[in-house]
Amino acid sequence: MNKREIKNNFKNIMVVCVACFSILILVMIFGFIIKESVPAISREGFKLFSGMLWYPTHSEPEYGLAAMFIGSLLITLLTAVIVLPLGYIIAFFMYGYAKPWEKNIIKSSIDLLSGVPSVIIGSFLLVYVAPIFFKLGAWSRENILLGAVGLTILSLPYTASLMEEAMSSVDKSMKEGALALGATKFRAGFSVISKAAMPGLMNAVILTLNRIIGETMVVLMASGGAAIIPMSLWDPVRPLTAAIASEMGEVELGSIHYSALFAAGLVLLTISFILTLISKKISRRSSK
Amino acid sequence: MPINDEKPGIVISVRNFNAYYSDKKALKEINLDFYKNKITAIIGPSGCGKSTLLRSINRMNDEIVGFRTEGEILYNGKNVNDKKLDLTLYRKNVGMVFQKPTPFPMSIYDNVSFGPRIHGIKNKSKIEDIVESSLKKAALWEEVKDELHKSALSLSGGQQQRLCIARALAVDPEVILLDEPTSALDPIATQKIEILLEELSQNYSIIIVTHNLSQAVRISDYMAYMFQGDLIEYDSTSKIIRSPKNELTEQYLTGRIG
Repeated sequence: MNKREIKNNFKNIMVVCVACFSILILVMIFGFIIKESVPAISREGFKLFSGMLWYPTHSEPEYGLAAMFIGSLLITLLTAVIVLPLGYIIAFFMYGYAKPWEKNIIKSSIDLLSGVPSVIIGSFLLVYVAPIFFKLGAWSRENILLGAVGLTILSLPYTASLMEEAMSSVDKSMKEGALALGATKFRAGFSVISKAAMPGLMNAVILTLNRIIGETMVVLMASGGAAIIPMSLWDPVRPLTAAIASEMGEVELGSIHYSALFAAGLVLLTISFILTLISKKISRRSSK
Repeated sequence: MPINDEKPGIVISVRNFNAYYSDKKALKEINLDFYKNKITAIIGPSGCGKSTLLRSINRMNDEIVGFRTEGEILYNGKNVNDKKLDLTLYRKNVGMVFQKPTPFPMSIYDNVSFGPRIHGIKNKSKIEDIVESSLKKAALWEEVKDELHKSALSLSGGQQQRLCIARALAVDPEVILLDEPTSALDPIATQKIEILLEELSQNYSIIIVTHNLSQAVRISDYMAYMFQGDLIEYDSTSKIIRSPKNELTEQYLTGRIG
């Protein structure tokens, strides 16, 4: 082996090592969470995932994750209904209409907003927004709507910039082709560019959902703590992330409660994993 | 610049036209008339301003920050840079085809019917007629008539470019601007488009920017030679080829400027 081959081999081995290390971490996280959740799953069985009642500290404890799981889905859905159209409108404006200086202002404020710690958003909601909701008829200071508003503030910058990126990455000639036929900017952006950017936009949707469902601090602070299925916007909700965050610190190590919290983590990890896979699949298909 | 032959009707005239990208002057005092139902080729080396001139005609450079113009471009006597101009209607009359084929990510049918639909035609059978006749005019009908609902992206490059021409024809324009329409295509596809353009020039006024001198010679009736933002020479193609008046033109034609 000459010097260059040694150098080359060394580089290859380094790359493989680093890549394997990250895969190893992923596998270990999965393995660890599965291992820790096995006691609860084997004792409670399917009831763990289908049970509506979560009373882990009662004398006759109940470990049903379903209500919190549905709570997670509902608050994610509610946030998505607000944040996706809003993000699209901002992206659309930035892409098609904003002058460079306007775009700069929007971009910088988005960057600033995305840097605000979630605990500050949570505090702001509790102190300033909750009283307004109270006047509007909320019966609980913390509720699903408040949580969704917090999640919206948190994920909007992310959604809008991902969507703007998706639209901007469409070849400029596509826009010109539409304009040259006499299409208005709106028409070109809406029926041609958005269609061409669809894989990117869908990717933005999925990554946004992924981010919302995994977010913890805001829902912990703003959405209340009752593990019930919310029936109105003013009902509190306890998503899986909030349950894990608030209970993990006090739980007895190795208990069924402890294990059930890991099972909740497993559910979250699985959802996130699936969403990431879908997103990868979409971007791979579009790059073909 | 005056043309001495019998004069066909004028469809677009450029008057004392200057264009700037921020501080850089891209077009200098351009004066020229484009004739009805003729093919005019704008030729010249890279960066001579030929694309800028073409794009200025249907205001494609509006979107470019820092781009501004002085002077006038008149379409049938009306200033196209007039703020009151209905740009949608104007671009319906003056269509454009680009260097890179730009099929929209939808079916062949939807691509061609896009224009008529945005200009308010709703009647389905009328749209079907327009799609068919436009594809026929663009010499693409025979190749795609059985798969109109297939994605336009599945067509070959040459077919995509003819689809773009069909799409431009579908809104019934008077002028068609082409910006190096064959530079991304192979020789056979190029030849098909050249034949097509010659046929179309019976009913449409065609202005084509091209890098390909022999293409300009083959298909154009008039030729404008530009160099560094100036219009150097403008005359009928046969005259320019036989006896260029300007030394720069001659240098370009003989390959000394490229």
